Amino acid sequence: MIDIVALLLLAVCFIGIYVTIWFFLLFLEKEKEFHKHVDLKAFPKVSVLIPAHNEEKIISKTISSMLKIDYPRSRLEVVVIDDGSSDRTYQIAKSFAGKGVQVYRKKKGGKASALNYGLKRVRTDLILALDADCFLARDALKKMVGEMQDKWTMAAIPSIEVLNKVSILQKIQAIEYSFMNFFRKLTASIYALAIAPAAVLYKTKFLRKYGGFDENTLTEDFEIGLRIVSHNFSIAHVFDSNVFTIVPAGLGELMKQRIRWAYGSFTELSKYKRLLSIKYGDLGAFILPQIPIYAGIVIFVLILTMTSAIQDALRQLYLLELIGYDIRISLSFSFLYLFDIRSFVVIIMGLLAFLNYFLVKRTKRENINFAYFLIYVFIYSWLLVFFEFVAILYFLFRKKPRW
Amino acid sequence: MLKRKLSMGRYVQTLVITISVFMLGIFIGFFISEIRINEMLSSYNEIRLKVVGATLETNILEGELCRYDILGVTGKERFDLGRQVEEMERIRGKTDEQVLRLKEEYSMLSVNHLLLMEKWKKECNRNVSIIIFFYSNKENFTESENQGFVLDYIYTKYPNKISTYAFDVDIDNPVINAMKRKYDVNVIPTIVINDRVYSGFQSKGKIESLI
Repeated sequence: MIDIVALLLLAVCFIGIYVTIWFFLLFLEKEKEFHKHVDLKAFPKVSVLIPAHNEEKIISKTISSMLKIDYPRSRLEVVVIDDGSSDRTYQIAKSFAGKGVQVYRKKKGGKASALNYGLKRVRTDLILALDADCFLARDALKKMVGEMQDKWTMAAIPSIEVLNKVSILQKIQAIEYSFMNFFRKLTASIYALAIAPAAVLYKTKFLRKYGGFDENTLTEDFEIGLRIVSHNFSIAHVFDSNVFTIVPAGLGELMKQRIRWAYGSFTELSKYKRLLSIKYGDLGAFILPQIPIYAGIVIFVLILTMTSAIQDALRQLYLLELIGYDIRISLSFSFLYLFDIRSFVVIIMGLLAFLNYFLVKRTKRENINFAYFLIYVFIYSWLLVFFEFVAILYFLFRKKPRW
Repeated sequence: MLKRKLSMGRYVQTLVITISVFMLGIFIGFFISEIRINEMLSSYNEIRLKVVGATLETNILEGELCRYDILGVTGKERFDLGRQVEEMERIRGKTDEQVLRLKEEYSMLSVNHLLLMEKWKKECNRNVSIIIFFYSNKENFTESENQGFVLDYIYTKYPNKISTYAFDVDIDNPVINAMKRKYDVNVIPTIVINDRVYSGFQSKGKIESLI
């Protein structure tokens, strides 16, 4: 007997299989691109803009790591913009002035406003926007600059790695980021990457012509990504090079971050909804539509299956009460049975996750802890579904998350 | 200007592979269900033979009935078979032809066993409670389910003291109809404990006090 919940789960399963197989076929075509690099013919001058707000604990490390980058020192300009910090960020940054680091101070206005402030004061053709709590790998800048030799590429990003892999949550996020990097590289290989996070190299001419950084968005990385692709340019992804970032240590922090990301993605995509069209190729027909489709799945699956699961749980509790909560005896005739369609769905989703695991492991050329991977698939991903659901509610009720 | 392409070939290939994987999954699920059902049917036949065999044996060897521990020999298997019939009902649905047929046969097997058990209890003076349970999947379905759950619990707790027999009143079968008439069943669920009729849901405590 098939009921509506089962049919819905089967439909979700079908979509999940379809998306995974689509990316798998893309991977078979584009695997060689993962480790390909463009050799630099010249070293254009790069301004590194580091917007910082109350980053006294880390700013010194960020600036030092940029000064050690493998790029001719004479072709690199490091600019720190203190965005109204109340701590010693400005003073610490100023201590690097002797090493050629320029430091500006402005009233608090947010990361985008700080970047725009820096943008007005630099004259280079390339700008690297680096978050204050990020460290670029030594070889990253050269490889990113190499990608900018393509005339349609307006931005380049490296892979994002987690710096602080201390707690279980952080280690699981590290696995999540490995998957993100993998899928971003795949989408970048067909010019369908529409996000520019953490450490982004831009062609300054694009920023000057198309309005700099948006100061009114919660997710400027997605906004600018969409802006780039909407003008028929592209974002390159240097898979083999990393920027190291600090990730939330606790569940509360993670929740705020992910709700903001999800909310931002809905808001920005609705501004750029014209991109949801086959005119923009696979980006418009397949990649971007996954955002609203996933949101729809979260709403219906979460509401319907959770309701049905809660009903089942309440029924089991009622039955237990009828037998005086004698769990010992009741377990021997097992009243909790698995619903066949659901176990089919769980098995399929598990198999898809393992397929992705092997592909990511193959390209990353590094071990991914299998136990953490299992937690990531069967527990952590449900957390993300819940955060997505909260973000959808914020979006539907037109309330902006306050952080 | 950068022109983004739509890779139609990949979409079609993906669709073909996805449908194949999906159909394979459904086929495997169906195949596994069929194996389980065949196993159940085979269990059912074994138990049926045991019960019929015991009945015939005791009929042939009059006076030797009390040598047999009828409850011990067939009690657990009958209970397990009942659960398997429920499981099959869950997989195939309550209106599936094969399920209804099996339930009818199971009911007749149950009556066969019930008559044997009543004879054994009377002639051999055994301290066993016989519980007959009339239920429905249509009328008062939830109450029937609740009662069935409580009775399963009671059997699991006192396997050597009771023998339960469940009959679906919606099955139009002469034997089941005769049972309904015998105990004048008008309310669903109804349980009969040692020939006394109790209409409506009976709690665990009440049943335990009567067995």
